[in-house]
Amino acid sequence: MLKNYLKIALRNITGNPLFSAINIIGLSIGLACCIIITLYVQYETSYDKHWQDADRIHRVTRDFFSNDLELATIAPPIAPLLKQDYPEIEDITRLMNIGTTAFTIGEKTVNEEAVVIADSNVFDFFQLEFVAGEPATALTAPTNIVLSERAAERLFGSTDVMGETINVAGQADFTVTGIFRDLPDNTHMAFETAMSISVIPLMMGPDALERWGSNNFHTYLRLEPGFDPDELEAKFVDFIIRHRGEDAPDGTAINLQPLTGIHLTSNRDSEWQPNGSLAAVYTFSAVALVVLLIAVVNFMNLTTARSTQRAKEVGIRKVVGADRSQLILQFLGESVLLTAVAMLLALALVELALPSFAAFLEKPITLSLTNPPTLVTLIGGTVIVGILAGTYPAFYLSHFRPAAVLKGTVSGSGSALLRRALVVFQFATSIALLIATGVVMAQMHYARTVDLGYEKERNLVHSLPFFADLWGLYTPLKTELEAHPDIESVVYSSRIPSQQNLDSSGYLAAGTQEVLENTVGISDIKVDWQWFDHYDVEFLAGRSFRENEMKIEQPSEEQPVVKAATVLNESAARRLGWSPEEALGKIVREPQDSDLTLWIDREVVGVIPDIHFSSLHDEMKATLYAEPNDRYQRHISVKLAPGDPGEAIRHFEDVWTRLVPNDPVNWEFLDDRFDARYRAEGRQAQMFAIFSGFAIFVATLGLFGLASFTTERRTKEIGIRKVMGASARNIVMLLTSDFTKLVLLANVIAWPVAYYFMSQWLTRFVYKAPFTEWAWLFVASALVALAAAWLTIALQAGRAATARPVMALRYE
Amino acid sequence: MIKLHNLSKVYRTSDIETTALDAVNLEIDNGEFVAVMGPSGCGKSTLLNVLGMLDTPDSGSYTFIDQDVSKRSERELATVRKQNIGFIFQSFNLIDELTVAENVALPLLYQKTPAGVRDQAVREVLERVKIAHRSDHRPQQLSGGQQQRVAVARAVVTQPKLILADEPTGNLDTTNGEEVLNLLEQLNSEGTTIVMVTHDRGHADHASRVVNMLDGRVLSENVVGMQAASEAQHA
Repeated sequence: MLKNYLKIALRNITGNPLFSAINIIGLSIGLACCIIITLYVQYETSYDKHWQDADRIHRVTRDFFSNDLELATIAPPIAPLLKQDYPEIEDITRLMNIGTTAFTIGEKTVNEEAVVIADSNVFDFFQLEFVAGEPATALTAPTNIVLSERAAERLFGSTDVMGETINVAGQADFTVTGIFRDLPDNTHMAFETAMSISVIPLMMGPDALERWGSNNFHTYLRLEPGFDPDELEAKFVDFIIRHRGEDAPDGTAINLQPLTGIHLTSNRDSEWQPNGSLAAVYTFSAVALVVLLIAVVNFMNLTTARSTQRAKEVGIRKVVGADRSQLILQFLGESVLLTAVAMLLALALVELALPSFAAFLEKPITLSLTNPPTLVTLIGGTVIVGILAGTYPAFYLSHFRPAAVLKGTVSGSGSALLRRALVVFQFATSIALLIATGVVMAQMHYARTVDLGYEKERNLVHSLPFFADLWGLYTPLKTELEAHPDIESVVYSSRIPSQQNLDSSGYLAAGTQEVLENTVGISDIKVDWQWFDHYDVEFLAGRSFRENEMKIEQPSEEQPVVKAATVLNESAARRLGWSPEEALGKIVREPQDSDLTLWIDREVVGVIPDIHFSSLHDEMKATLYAEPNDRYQRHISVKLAPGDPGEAIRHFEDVWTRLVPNDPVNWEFLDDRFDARYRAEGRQAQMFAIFSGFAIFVATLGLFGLASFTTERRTKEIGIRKVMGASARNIVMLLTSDFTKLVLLANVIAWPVAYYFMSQWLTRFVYKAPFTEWAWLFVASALVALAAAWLTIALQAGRAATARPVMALRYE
Repeated sequence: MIKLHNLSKVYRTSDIETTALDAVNLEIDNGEFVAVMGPSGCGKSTLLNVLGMLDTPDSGSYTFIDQDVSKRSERELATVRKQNIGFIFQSFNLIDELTVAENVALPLLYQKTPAGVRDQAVREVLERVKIAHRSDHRPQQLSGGQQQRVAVARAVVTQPKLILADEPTGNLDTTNGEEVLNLLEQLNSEGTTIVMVTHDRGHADHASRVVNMLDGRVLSENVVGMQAASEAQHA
């Protein structure tokens, strides 16, 4: 029996090449999309699950409510106090991500990325495997440094480098005391080199590990087995008050995050690197399923449309003794077989597409067919999709009564309504996907073209590695660079546009009572006096800095109050209670110690509008611009003259290499940095574009098949109409108008759905492209869908309409 | 074997009602060869469909081998059907995608006959209808007469008690038609009951009894041989 089913299924597949091709191509595209997205989802959800006792590890994070800061990192004194206060904490470890740092080995200086400063227990905590050295003791001395295998290979060309010396940032020599296996790719952390935390007091000041305001440490704790993280978190409520007493700032809290959830659910300030997004995982899963569903609908539609052709077979089988369940089984078998063929093709497509997809996502995603669970999933998937596609047609086809079909009085019209509904579904989802693609692209365009409030074009920026500063070198650097005709100006600052600004302090409007509670949290950026001219920022009131306002003394017991100047943005002025004009001449006081005895009093000399300093994801913060001190010359911006930047760049590299030999040249264009901030969205736009392309293609394929059957069924009618004088145009109109109505109906459904979902998507941006800028997309998507449908049907209809009528009539 | 009592069947569309069978009373005994005759639309085919349990009557009773089958479910009817009845159609109704042998084997397949027995039975029946040499061909590759012989083979392969033939010679030329009729006669002589709808008086001569129908009613039943007299009466 099975052999018989298989045989007739195969013959049905080969005997109806158009039908089979449409279904197999559609299903294979749908399946390929699903396989690829499943691999992506599998990878995204695998993050950090591999660490030993991962379910007991949590990250400690910190919120500052007054400044809207949600930090992934906390201050260094917190970890030891937590361990001391709460016995349920089995172990705790701290890592400070210092990013790019200049390493000198012999004569060669390179910028080493992904450098951390960590507690000595970090390797035991995460059970990192060592290929050389002792994990427990590798980071005990201040001059110890531990490398990953990859870093060792890159720096020394070998992993046999125990005892070798690395000079860090031209400051001190460090000895390699351990080599660990590279971190897996699927972890939210990113480091390849670790230095000992005991170096911090030596390089950053003896009290550096006691500063409660220095929230730079990723801190992980492991609970004793059986303890509830929520209960521990609840106990944190009075932790800061208990340890800080009166010094405790208002509106700050520490929290716990499960390690395994960080990659997909955490989007805090100061993450290691941009995390994944659960929303993206859901969205792409849904979209891949939609493509598959459209293909499944094709199968259902084409099979029921073709039902008259198979009705006779059903009748005969029933007459000779088949009961309905046997027929249902037979048809399900056919759909499963067809799906199996599609699955083989899908696997071939996946093989072809996966490398570029993995490269596109920058994730090492692979498919291993020799892996038994994968095989079981693929086979199970084939059966499920086959049954999903085949069930309705199987029930529909098997219900035919033999007396009626053998007499030839059955037509396939019974399911016509459902078929129309399914076509509407296919086009509605395709149109919604098209609109989604358009909205993502519109927002990207908006982000690139919106007036940021300053001129970001033609800026080359250079960030200094950790530990380095330009003190003393800055003036000669600026003078030499500006001497070049293609360089317009050079400024430095503590942050550059495109960066998130996480620096902030408490400020007091002069005249208010001098208590800590009255301070207002405001972000601050330290800038060169020409910074506003360089970036072409307009002033709402007042003026820019003057050169003589850049150097100030630090307040001391002899001179407890120091005067200085400041420029505020509009929000900062408002937060302090002033309009831009009112703010001019007012004094903003910055306490320098917790006893409120030492002050810097800044006179407001100018107010600028709020500018989009960071990306459009982030709110424009209330910001105070002030003079730099030696810690804050971390970034320089070089404005290039219009035209070919080649000469200017070469000059920059020459001057830099000569004047700053310890820090390898490492410039970027500011534009590129902004583009990088929108990279995740750029990827989404491309993924949406690809998927909606597939959806439209598969839906159109189905429509093509449906139209060809309809035309075939109506051949005689067309012939008679032509004999009666209908023109080819009349005939094409006749055949297209039906489907046109369906596509229009699909729009009515797709528009509100797309509007709802895309409004949700846009909430990830604080600043969104206004609806008026993307409203046209709705009409455009409707036109694209209509054009695709018309072209498809007209192809069929045109052939029928131009045939000689006698041919059509002879057909019967 | 068959007892119909006041059996009626009405087809309804939104506009009109057509009475296809109107209070038909008919008995057919084991081993009979009955020909059903009448003009187009008189209800011959409906009668055959009801007899073959492909269609259910609206009223009246139908007793098949001492069981009332007029109120049975589709599933139960299918069981009775596949165990007892073979069908032959004017348009052959072979499945184009299957070979001759596969078409013939189909009823056995649905009776879950073991493969060995099945192959044997198919070979025998194909030899009997003299088409064994084309057993691997597809129906479209055969002539009409050959196709109908395959259909006959398919109808008898399960050795049914009853064969229902709906104008089995309608699409065939005289020679081929005669050949099929001879086959049926031979089966009848071996004990199979046969009910055959036909337009052709000459073909009806092969039967032992002729049932004449008009407008859904049985007009007359003649034992073959008394046909001439019956005709005279109508005239």
